[in-house]
Amino acid sequence: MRFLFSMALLAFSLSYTGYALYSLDLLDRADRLGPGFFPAIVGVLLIATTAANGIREYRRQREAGTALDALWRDVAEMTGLIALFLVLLPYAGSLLTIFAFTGLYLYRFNRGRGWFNAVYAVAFSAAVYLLFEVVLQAGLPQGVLAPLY
Amino acid sequence: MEDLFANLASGLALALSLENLVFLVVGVSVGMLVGLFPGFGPAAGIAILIPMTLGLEPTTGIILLAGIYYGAMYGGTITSILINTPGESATVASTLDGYPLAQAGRAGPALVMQAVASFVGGAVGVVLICAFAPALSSFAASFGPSEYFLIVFLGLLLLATLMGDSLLKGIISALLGFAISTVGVDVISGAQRFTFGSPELIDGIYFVPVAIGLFGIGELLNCIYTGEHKKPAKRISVTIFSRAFWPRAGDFRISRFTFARGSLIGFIAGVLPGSGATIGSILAYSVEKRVARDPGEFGKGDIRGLVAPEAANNAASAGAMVPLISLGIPGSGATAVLLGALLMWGLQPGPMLIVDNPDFVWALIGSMYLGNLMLVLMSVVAIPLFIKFLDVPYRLVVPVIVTLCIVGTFALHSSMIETWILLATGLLGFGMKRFGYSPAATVLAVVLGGMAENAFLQSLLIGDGSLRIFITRPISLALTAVAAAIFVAAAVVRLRALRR
Amino acid sequence: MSRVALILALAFAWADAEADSTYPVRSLTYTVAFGPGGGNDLMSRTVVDIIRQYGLYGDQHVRIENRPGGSGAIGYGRVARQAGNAYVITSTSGSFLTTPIVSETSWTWRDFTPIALLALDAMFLVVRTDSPFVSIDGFVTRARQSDMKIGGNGATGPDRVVAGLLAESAGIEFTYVPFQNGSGLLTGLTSSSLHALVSNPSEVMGQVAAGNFRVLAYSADSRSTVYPEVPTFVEQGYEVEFAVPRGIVMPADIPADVRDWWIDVLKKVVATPEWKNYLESRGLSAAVLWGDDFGDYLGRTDSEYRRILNSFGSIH
Repeated sequence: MRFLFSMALLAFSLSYTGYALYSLDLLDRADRLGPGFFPAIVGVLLIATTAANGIREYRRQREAGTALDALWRDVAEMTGLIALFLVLLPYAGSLLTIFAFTGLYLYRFNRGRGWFNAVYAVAFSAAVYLLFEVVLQAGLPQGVLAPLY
Repeated sequence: MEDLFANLASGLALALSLENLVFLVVGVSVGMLVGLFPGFGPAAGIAILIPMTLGLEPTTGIILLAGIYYGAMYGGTITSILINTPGESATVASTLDGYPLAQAGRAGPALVMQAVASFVGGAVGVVLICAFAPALSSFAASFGPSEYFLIVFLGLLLLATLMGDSLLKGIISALLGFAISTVGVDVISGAQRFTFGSPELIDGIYFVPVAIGLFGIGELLNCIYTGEHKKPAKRISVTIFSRAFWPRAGDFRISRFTFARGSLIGFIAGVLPGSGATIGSILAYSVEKRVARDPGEFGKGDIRGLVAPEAANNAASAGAMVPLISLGIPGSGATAVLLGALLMWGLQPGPMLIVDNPDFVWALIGSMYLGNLMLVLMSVVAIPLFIKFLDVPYRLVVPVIVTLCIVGTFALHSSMIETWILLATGLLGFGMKRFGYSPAATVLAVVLGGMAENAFLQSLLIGDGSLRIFITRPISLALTAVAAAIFVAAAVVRLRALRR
Repeated sequence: MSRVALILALAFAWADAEADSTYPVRSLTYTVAFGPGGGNDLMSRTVVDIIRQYGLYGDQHVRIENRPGGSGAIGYGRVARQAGNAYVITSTSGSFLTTPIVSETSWTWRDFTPIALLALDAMFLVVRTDSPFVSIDGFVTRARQSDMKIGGNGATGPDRVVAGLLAESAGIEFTYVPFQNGSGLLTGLTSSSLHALVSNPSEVMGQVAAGNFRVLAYSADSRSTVYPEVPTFVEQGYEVEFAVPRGIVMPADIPADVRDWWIDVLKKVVATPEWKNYLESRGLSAAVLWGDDFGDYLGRTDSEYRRILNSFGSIH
């Protein structure tokens, strides 16, 4: 994982720099520093440092081994739940999304306490709705509930 | 000096009227409340309440809005300490030692110390405004693009002290931040960079979703990884009457000079328009780490590492009032909204404001003393409530953190793209945290990168493409000398270390 | 997506059905395409306050929503997408014209129904009081000998256009230094980094009143009602005439009687003392054009922008 992360950073650096050089001019029409100058410098430095870092991390990983432990699964599931939140938000609206997210999360991570979880999900989504929509008027998405507003 | 006290006394008398006091309480409470939610900074709080102030006297109105402004600085740190989620770039530095303190079970002392530090910083800032406002405004007025570039450059040099395990990873972290800061329209050429034709990206990637993602979501995923959600809650069960709630005498003794240094550095940074409170808090943290005999303790929960940035960001928010009132130049997003409010009341901020409307200005300054006093009392009373949050098992806290982060981010610009940026930077932050990179360096580079690039290119335009501009202007020359001195000092330290 | 379309279609059907009865039967959404506190926001809030104060929108509610982002691209795009909806309204700015020119947006000014031009926000050319320049002639003479640095907000905004027009009509060249916000621009001049700057009157008024800055010229076609002592470029012999249109537009395809209804209401708005007070405090010139006349004006200003920005190569 450690090595993979450093490789992801290197891949980002390469694509960032490549796109900068492809889409932006280093100098402007009057031969002064143009929009691509700073990105090019940052990009080249990024490639150099992330490549050096990748080599270090590879050595380190070879010494330490590549054991993956079980909790990576929880992290992946949590990430999936947050992504689901974001997918639902514009369509289902804030109230239903927060209810669904909290419900699903508790169903997975707080097993066997059905009643408590249901009450928690209802109370929490209602509280957030009251605080942000009614008091702070944050203008959260209304989604399918829009006709009720 | 006598004038000063007479003015201040009349200002305090005005601020003490019943109506003004009521609105001051409303302002600081709303400020603390919006500060608590990541994403809802002072700018959002002020904007929400502006319609309410339209029917008020300008003096009452500005007291209300200024209360929100510095109240949010108090509230903003609470989430930085408790859940490692700064809602503002100015409180990023406060997470570095604030969160480790809370994890070590010292959330109570940390919150009390941050309230005290905020109070000291705010109060020192207000005193300095009274004493030096005229001199400071001409100082701020002499800062052109070349001076700005050098100040930001100094800030960037000091980023090195925030870096995590290794210098290489620290540099990578900062470079990632610079890369993010290049997204959007380039101010100098007007060209669009990395926008991929999306209107949401024209104005660039705002640092708030990045900060909330890297810290808030990143820390959340890290806690899941370390299995926090499977552990029962650690009962802290402190009340306002228990010993563990209050800072120890040693906490005050070790940080007695930290208060002064932090306040002074923060105030000076605040006076300079730009990103005052952010640069001020980094500078204060770095200086504190440099002067400490045991810098190794920083980042592990050293009380000085919390006091310095807190005193600094509150002193800076006071300092930012100097250019706003005396030059009509807003130093930050929040003061820009305040400027809009002043214009709405038909007041023209600028050098003539204090001449034409002395009552208004002195009542504002008077109310800032009272407001800071109220805030420290309110904080101490409210802290036990906040600490209760840590008594709840972590697995039940998770939905609250996720919802706060997403709702706060969305409320900023009603942008779904920014919420996806939140998730992406959350994953990035998780990786960075696990593998020893420095999310703080990334966030600060996002904030400072764009400023540095613009100021540098503006300086070159003004100096006909030559770097001489950085040594021909007196203040620039002084700043260049300081930067050079830092380089030389670092090199000398390295050489000595090598010789040993 | 189809659900959204269905709701919109229902809303329009409803709006159409009601169009022939007394117009405001629903609340109005006043979209501000910028954040709170700026020039556009201030004007919008002033209009809404007057409408509320005089009860001009019947007993219905008027809601202001700030939709900042992309130099107006987001907020204006949001309004443009609601063609036919008679309950959405927004105010114009410089970016209303420049953003579609310099970035790829899904809309241009043609995707809106012009209602009224209410005021013109022209620009000042400002120097320091301790500089040797007392008139635009002196400034131009000096600019022929050495390179002058003129600052302004943004690389492609109205400030750039005014500076460009001056260079064109005086036959001079100079270095334009773009700034990202008004505060950086002001300190650029106070710190003597720049020789002059082009700015909105309200941003420099404080410094001018304090005697730190001197105004050399005003970019409207006639002198400002608020600063009658400042000469225009035109009367000093330079063909520089340019102002940001502060007006009101609605989405395309709204019923003609709704447009006329709004023209009537805005005629009442500009006659109030509150509106005059707003113009005065912001240093704006009163300038009113209604309906299609406003549309023609937008068209002319748009081509002027395109021509100038093209000559700098700012359009990519």
